[in-house]
Amino acid sequence: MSDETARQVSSAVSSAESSASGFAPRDHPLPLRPVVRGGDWLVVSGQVGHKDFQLVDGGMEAQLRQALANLRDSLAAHGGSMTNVTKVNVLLADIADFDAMNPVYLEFFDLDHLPARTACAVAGLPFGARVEVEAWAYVPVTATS
Amino acid sequence: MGLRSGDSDVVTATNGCSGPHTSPILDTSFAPVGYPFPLRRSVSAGGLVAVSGQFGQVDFRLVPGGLEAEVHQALRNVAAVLQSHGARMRDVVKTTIYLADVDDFDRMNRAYLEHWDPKRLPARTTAGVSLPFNALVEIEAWARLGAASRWRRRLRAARRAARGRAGSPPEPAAPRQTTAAGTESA
Repeated sequence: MSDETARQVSSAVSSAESSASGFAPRDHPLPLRPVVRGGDWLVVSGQVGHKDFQLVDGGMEAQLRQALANLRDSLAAHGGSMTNVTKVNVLLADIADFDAMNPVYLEFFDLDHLPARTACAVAGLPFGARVEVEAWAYVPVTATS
Repeated sequence: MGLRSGDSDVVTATNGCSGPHTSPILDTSFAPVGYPFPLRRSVSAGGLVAVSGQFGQVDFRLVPGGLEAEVHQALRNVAAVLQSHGARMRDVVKTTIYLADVDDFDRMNRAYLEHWDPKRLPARTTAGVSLPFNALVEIEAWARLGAASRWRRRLRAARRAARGRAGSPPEPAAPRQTTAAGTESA
């Protein structure tokens, strides 16, 4: 990550934390929960390629690898796995990254369990991220409780 | 560019609508279904309800006041749609925030947080996109339909069964909460 990007992320996160006392709900500096259960579904918030709220170095591919690792870890913490993922939305900062995105994406999913997916480029992502990944996973309550 | 497949249709339906705060974001091309766009404000299935992307509009006019005002109104609109299903903001499991300018992220976060119990925040994805109507923000939501709405479904099923046979046992008492049941349920 460039120093400029690091400053942007750091600045965005710290301003989110400091903009109002009590802004950071519990253990997360943004107003969201990483994973929320809705019936038999686990809904995973859009993941960017961050570690401890710093975007990783290495451009879109490194960020995607980290974002998918974050997705996998988030699911695991709630009794799910990548094979449970039913639908993924991939948001790219630049549609020119589409071809480079696919091989990295495949590193994290079995060919036999590929989720449905929508990918598109958007006008901008928070923190200047190059890619954001959200997912819905089907993890019936009975399977985890 | 939006994520929802319906967006392109909505943009088509509203060609000719210009700036915010002046022209209503209203086009009756799709009025035959009773709603001016080819979508339902919400659709329920499988214990969840999907709430279509909501803008900061009242009577199809964007509210004045900029980003924060539109965030507040859009979330009030989400809450109103949820109420028609007997659901509340605390039942929301996922939101997607579309910003016309992703640099509004921090301001959006502060306005957004006012509408939620910090312990029951939904999962969320945010992106900067191009929005119809020159809106500054669009918010879609998924919510779980809780015990109350399940109870109402059982109640309706019981009433249907009762109508269908003579000498049936009395229906259960009406629920105290009289919120309109999910009239837009699939």
